[in-house]
Amino acid sequence: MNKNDTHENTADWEPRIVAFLCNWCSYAGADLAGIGRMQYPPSVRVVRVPCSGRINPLYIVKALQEGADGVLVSGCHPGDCHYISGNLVARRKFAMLREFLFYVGIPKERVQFSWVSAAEGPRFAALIRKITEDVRKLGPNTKLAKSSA
Amino acid sequence: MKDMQEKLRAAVKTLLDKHEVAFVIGYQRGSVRGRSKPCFVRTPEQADQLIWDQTCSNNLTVYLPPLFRRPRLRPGQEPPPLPRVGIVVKGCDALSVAGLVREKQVPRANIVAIGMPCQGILDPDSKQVLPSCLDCQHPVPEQADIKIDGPAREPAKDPLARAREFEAKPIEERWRYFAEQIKKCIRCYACREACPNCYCKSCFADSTNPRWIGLSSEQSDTMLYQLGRLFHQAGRCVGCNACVRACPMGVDLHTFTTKLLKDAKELFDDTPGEDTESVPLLSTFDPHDSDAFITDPDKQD
Repeated sequence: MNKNDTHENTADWEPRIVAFLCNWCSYAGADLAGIGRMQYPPSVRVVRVPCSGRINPLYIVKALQEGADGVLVSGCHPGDCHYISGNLVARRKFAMLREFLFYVGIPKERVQFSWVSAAEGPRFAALIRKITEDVRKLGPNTKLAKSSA
Repeated sequence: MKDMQEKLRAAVKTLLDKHEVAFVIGYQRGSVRGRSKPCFVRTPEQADQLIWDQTCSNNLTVYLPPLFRRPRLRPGQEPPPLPRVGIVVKGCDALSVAGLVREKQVPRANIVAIGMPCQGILDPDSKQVLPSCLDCQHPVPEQADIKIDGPAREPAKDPLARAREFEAKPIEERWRYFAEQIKKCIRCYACREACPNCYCKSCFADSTNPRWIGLSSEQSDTMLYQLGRLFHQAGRCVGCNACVRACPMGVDLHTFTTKLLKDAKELFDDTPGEDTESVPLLSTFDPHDSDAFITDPDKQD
């Protein structure tokens, strides 16, 4: 992550959120939000993945380590997966991961999961607004972040 | 205990005499007092090396997956026949056998499990039964092929008690405890080596491209290792606690593995190690799995 992005412990700190979006639904939903010129906070850095089922839990923890203040994972709605069931397999994994991270002491708002379809531009914009506000309330991520991040 | 040891040796001798197995994996006296070490018994005479007592700490099923790994074959080459092996198992190790069979790493027919009722493993220093063994629900290996009888612990009433107790603490206190445990870790990877489920041919912890875990001794790197390894056991860990016993620094991994068992049970009603037929928990799905944790920006909360 760009060093210039670092504003921790300063008054102008803005949340940095890494969003893993699936190519077929959520990424297209984000695109639609852009095409429709919908306003949402510029806090999000998008990583496009083939499917939410492709997301290794390590990506999420690694993002937090490398300086993300929040992580968003979004895929197709259940039943709409381009690969039929990738998001359904992912759902189990994410349910357990979220519980586990909360268990060791990472607030649930830091790592969020959602479904956004290619037609849901407004929902994507609302989602980014929501997660940005959630993370802003929590403040900078200091728990897992590397000191150099 | 001595009596069980004699029965064990006799059973192993019979197995080897009849050529039912190629070898038997068991325990022998360690070079340090109060410790045992694994041994591979190939002839009936060697069976007298075998011991059984409360120092038999290792989960020996860690040796099984590599025995059944398919070698790379040239076209037209016949695969070599798989060995049939005997293995000494405690109750927890028997669960690992079932877990490995469920993950198709080990053919059940090629294993002769010799089950030893267990009274709990002793801490080599304090000579007390280890705390992680107090939560054991399977002191007797029910799934074993040959059952040696002897005294066993009472099964714990609530094997998930530790997770429940920890969950009830405030979040900052949980984080402090986790950070404290991580601070002790020297990243020797003994937990990984001791774990029968850590049979991956290459581990994310060793990967240099991408390098998931930095080379520094920074705490966040250690956290990444522990979180990565622990969560890779989600839906797979049977709670044998071999990682806890292998840890030279006394990191309390038990608290965290128990949570994985608890979530598998409570979210998906799955107990790894219980059966050999089902599909591993995180390799499959149910269309009716809960969506409760999904963020819905349209919903006001």
